[in-house]
Amino acid sequence: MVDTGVVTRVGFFVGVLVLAAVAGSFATGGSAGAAPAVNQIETPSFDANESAATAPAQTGELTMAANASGEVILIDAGHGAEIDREALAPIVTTLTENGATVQYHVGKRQGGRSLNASLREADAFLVLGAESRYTEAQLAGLDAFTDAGGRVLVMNEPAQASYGGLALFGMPRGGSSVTSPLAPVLSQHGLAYDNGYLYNMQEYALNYRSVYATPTGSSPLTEGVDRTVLYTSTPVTGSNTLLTTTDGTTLSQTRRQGTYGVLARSGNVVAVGDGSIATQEFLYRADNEQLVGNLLDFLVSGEKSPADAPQKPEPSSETGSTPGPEQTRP
Amino acid sequence: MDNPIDSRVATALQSYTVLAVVAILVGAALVPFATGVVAEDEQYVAVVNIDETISESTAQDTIQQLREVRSNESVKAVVLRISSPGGSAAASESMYMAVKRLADEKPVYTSVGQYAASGAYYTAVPSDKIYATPGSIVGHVGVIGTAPSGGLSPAATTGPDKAHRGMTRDEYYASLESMKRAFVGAVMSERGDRITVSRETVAEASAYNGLRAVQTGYADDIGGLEAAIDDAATEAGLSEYQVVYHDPAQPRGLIFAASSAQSTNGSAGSEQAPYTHRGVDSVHFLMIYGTPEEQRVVSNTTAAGGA
Repeated sequence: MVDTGVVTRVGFFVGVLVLAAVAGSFATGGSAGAAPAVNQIETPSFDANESAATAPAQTGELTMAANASGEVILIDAGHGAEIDREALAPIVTTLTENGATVQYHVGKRQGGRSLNASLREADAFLVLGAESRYTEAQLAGLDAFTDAGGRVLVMNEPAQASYGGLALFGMPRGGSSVTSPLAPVLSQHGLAYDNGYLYNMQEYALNYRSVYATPTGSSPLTEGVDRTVLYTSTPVTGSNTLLTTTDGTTLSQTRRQGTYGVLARSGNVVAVGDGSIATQEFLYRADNEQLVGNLLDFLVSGEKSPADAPQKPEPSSETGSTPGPEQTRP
Repeated sequence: MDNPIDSRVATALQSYTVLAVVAILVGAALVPFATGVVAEDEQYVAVVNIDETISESTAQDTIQQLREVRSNESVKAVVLRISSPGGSAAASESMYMAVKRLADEKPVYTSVGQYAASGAYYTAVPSDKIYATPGSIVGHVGVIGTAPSGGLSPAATTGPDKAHRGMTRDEYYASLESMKRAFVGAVMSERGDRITVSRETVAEASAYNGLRAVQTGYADDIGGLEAAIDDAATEAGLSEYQVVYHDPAQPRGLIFAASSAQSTNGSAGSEQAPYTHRGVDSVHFLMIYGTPEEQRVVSNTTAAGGA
């Protein structure tokens, strides 16, 4: 006879064992319960020493060599050029400290006077990022201005650049712009802007749109300049190209690689493919401040004769008694 | 029965409490064997669907699912079904690392639907094999930064960079460049010899159609989900298997919110950003196909945000 107590106890044992096994399986969630082994994955491209980029140093001082006493520099704040006067403070301060007077042409819409009236008092004209057309009278006035020895410095941006990049002077610009509104004046001097912006995927300063440019020979405009950094610049063509981008630079419109001219001079007119180098943000990159200093020397070194070119009479649209331009005097 | 130990054992075995404790201990020891027997009978290929714009919250859901299929021993191979334009940069990087960890342990194959672009391609790139169809859009390796307009906030801050979203503009560009280097580096190292274009070309951020993606080595073959499942199973040595489908994350709005984006119907999405607060502007880094309209955008790619 088997002891019923033993049978009962064996049955109890088996029952609890099965219950424990089943409960254990549920508690661990079946086969998915085991915690996965955590192996350290290799992600070489996440190595900070390998991938982390650092902001470039900003060094140098903006200085001028030429005597600017009595010179009047007119900056075009009309024609769609959204001038950030704070960003231009270093060049304006340098000009005024050297004796020049800086005026802003705001256009008649903002209560200013005509461009030709402003040019008559000016020795040099600086255009930064203009995007709307100049009237025939204004273009004729500029012709007379340069013919008389007035200096013109055009630092334009490709109109499209503001779409993808930060607009140079504030908010993105509208869509009704023209790439080079001064093309008629520039073409008379054999200068022209190309379409699109320049980039370099091989050698660049922090961003592919910040390309390097080096002097092509010796010129007062590039004296002391070893290398400059231009941001979202546009190619400039002319017979006397003084600054070209480094190898591997590509034009966005054509995707053609090569070296591109970004600064050219023809007599009293200089065209630069980038206005950002004149602003506080980009002024102290590489040798930009040296280049800008040379450009300021160029602006104040003209000999304008007659001194009041472009002379009257003007078309009726360009005449009228209106307030003068704003001035920053030394 | 004179042995005192025997008599004590015999006495102990009379106790139901002792029997219960011993039974529980033995039962617990048998659990792994019991579950192992069940698992051996079922072999799965898990399909994980990634068809949403990648945000921190969707990435969290997907990464949790990837962890589950990784730890489930009955899942022998995984197929990612990707049809996403990408999304947040940080979330995309997290997805990349999760897939890479999974691919270290199990065959991972990717089938591309409409897109595996930017951050979604980042997610796909550790896969053993990537399938696309001719109409798929693949690649677009790059980063877009969106910066709020305007200068200093009139609100008070405790340090100069607190007033500049934590970074100067140069540092902003440096961040963008760093993320690009990590992204491009990941693509180059994961795809290895299969990629036929240069690092510089990858960094140009081209988006390729499926045929061109195979030509350039961004993808391996033309094929759909079935081909990916079959090949993943073959790679795992499965002759008989079941397919289990997971759809861990539901589409949600994108991570940045700009007033202009709310009125557009582009890929930008319209949900309020989770980490922004009214009156506080933030910088966002995106790995997404396309360029939001009317945004102050800085891109480190030529294909995104370029003219």
